[in-house]
Amino acid sequence: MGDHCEQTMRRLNTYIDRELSETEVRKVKAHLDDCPPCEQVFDFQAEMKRLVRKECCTDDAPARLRDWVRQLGAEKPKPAG
Amino acid sequence: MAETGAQIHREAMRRPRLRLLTRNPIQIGVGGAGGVAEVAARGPAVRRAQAVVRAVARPLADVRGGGNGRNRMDQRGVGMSSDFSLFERHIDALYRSALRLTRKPEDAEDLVQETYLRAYRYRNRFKPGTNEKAWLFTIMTNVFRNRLRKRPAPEDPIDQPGTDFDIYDQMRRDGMPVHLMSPEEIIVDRGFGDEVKRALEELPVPMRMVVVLVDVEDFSYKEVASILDIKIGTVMSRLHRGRQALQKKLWEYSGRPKAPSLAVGAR
Repeated sequence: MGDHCEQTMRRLNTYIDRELSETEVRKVKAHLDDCPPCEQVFDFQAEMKRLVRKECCTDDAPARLRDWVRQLGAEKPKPAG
Repeated sequence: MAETGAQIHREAMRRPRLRLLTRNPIQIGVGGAGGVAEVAARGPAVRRAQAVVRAVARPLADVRGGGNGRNRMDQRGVGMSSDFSLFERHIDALYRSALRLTRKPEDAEDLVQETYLRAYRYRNRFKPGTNEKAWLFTIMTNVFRNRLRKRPAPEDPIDQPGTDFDIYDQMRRDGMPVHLMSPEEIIVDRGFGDEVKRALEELPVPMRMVVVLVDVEDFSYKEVASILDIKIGTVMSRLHRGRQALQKKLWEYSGRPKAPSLAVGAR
């Protein structure tokens, strides 16, 4: 594993999370384009992130909770104090 | 910018006028008592709502919208008592995260209710133009952490540091031809998808909160740092360890390595 690989792997999380500066993004991207093994690791970790999101987004709030919140928002309370 | 303790205390002493739904469903619009807020809360709901108020001793509205552009939902904000719908629209996000935190639908519902009660009560403190989703999550994670302090979940796993693990690396070391498989194939092949929620819910709370906020809710590190009142470096390390722990659990659930189904050439 070369220096570039190591640097890229260290930045992989922040790259996946879109937390890097543009300059850094360019560096990481350039390396990934050049280095299939690193690119594969990136692909897998990015897919894992997508998987977590996808699996967890299936639970919607129950209708009665939704109604309750809507009612709460519709209340016209007296001014506080 | 902190609210004074006296102010918080005064607010805490005022009885919440909403009964929490999970304990005792309210028939909205039935029975003549008028709106939901006409129903006086008693007992545990009152004590809980008071605890909620005490729990949040730091300002909530500090999370700027923007960051790197994600979660910048809406710049118009809510004025005084105006647009509660700005908050309402995040109910699914709050609920699914509450579910990951509490692990139980009834507790999740309760947590979301308390979050909205507080948001409603303190809606005037929300700064228009800031990120209302982050504001709501600040409230919710505070309520949750406060509850946990009082009633620690006994089954909460111990945080074991220093367990470097990732699935890809493990498979490679096991001699599996990962380079011939697409990420989707690996995930489907090993059935990782089915166990994500369970794995996530077994993570220690600090890691779980960060993974949920970053990976599920798409908050930036900066926003998460603000929501949880921790340093960005802490967000990053918890995220890193949380992801590793998650993958380790998925790996363990999926059992011993099977022979790959070898869809060679898919990449």
